[in-house]
Amino acid sequence: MVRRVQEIMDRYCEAFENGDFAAFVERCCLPFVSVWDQETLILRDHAALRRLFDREYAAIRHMPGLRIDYELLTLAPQGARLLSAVTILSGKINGNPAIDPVTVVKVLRMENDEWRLGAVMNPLMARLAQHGEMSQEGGR
Amino acid sequence: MRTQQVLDQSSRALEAGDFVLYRRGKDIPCVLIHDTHTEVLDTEAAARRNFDKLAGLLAAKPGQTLVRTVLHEQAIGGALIQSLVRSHVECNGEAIIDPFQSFITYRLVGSNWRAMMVVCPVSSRWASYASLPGMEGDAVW
Repeated sequence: MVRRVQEIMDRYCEAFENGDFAAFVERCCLPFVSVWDQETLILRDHAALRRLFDREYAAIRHMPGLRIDYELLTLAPQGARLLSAVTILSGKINGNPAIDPVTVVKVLRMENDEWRLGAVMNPLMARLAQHGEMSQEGGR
Repeated sequence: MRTQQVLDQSSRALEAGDFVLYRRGKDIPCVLIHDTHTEVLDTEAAARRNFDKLAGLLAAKPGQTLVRTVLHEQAIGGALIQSLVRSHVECNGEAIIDPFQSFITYRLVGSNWRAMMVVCPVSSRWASYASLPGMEGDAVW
């Protein structure tokens, strides 16, 4: 299970790095919940998710060559169909640190025989938002 | 544990039917992630309905108390904490449902920690308890 969840997170990283919304949305639950330091975004449909994805992609696009990495620290099942994953997000450009490591927690749910992302708690997003002109209203 | 006091306040508010006290420890929107669906309490009225349901369950039988213990806290930056919580309900000192675990995420608002997300399977004993006949939907905290 650990390997499968790590694969899913790696795929999300690639989706962001490449601006590939289809790959991103493929394994998201709806509503999707994005938790920042001071606000909670509820994305109720694909259009809202697309707006958030575009804004987040815009936020990292100012760092060409950025490679994002999620290191899975712990995986805690809640019953058979829910997981809480504690990860460390970091980013490098040409092998050099570009994003200081930060703790990010993801909640996954088993839907249609696959683990899908239901919520992400990422304190970095508010800082990235300042770069990417992300609106406070987000995709709510 | 930083969130134990908030959790205790919430439990006492539920037992006393005190929504004002309960609301001090809750952020809106508050998200309930179940194993089958995600529920969003995004209005005062929705938060109140959830409170009334749980407070009503506890009040239905004299002597019931909600016992919740923070087992572990995970800081997520400086303004978020995810707590692993063990819960059970006692009646006159005897456990009437087996303990179960859930995750509660808290946000620091001003100087107060407020619950803003609960991750708990619907199949948990508490959820089953909270879904007694006559109770609409699910409630997890």
